[in-house]
Amino acid sequence: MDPSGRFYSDDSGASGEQFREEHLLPALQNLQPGEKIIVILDDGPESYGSSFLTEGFAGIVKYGYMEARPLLDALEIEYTDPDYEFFEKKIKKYISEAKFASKDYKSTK
Amino acid sequence: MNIDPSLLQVIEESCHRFGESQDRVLEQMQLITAALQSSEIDKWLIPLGVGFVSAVAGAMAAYLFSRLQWRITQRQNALSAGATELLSLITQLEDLVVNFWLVDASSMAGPVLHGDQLKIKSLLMLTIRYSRGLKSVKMTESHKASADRLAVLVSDIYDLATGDDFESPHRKASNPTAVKLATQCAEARSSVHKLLHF
Repeated sequence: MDPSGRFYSDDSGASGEQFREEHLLPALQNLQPGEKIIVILDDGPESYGSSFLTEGFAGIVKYGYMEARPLLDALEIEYTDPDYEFFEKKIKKYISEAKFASKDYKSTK
Repeated sequence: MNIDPSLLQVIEESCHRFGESQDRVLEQMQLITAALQSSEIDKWLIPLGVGFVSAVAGAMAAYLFSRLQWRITQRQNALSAGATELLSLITQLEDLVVNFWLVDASSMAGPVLHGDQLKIKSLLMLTIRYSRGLKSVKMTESHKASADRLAVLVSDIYDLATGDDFESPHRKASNPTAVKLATQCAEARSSVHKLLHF
């Protein structure tokens, strides 16, 4: 299933909110010192929408789970297709620009 | 032994002529040796050498010029092919995203909505690819400025076209988003046109 949509309520079954709440956040919470989360961008998805990437990654900062710098340090973004460098830069930009704890999280599930 | 005096005279004359011939041959050889040792040779060897070097230099210059010309043509062809493809992609993308953001998602049939979302993401992906591909082509400063501007515009178009409620069935039409996208796509096309002028 290709990642798409921002919220659970978008009924895509693979939204940014779902990715953040069910995959990224638990992985971050279980991360041991010195460990990193490897995110492989091109192991299936043909593309990503900015709504998915913003909600999935920058949402961690926006909802106050973690500040931008430690989040960026915890992520190891990988890809073999050079076209996906565009999405890596986008993820890092969205995280860097997000305002920490600027919004309360309410699940749309 | 009696020898005819006239015969003796003939023999004497012959010997004398032979000696003269020998002297002439020696004289000729001395002249040739002197000529070879003299600067007379240099006088015609130097122009010959200069001519030869000029011919080689001319041939080399012609070769380098045609090679340079070939490389410039190759570069222009690569840039032109990439730019032509980008122009087509941006034109298709513009039509699609502007119309997409002018109507509510709820007014579009499910398969059409989903199809348009996929097409927009695919066209953006190809636009990103071709825009990135331009970076591998050597170009002039003005072309490079146009290519850099194009990369910024493609990035902005991506943010705007696939942001907000892009993939939500609850997405509302947004006239300001459609206008911004139309403007950015027009500017992107203009940047591509600049890449096609040599």
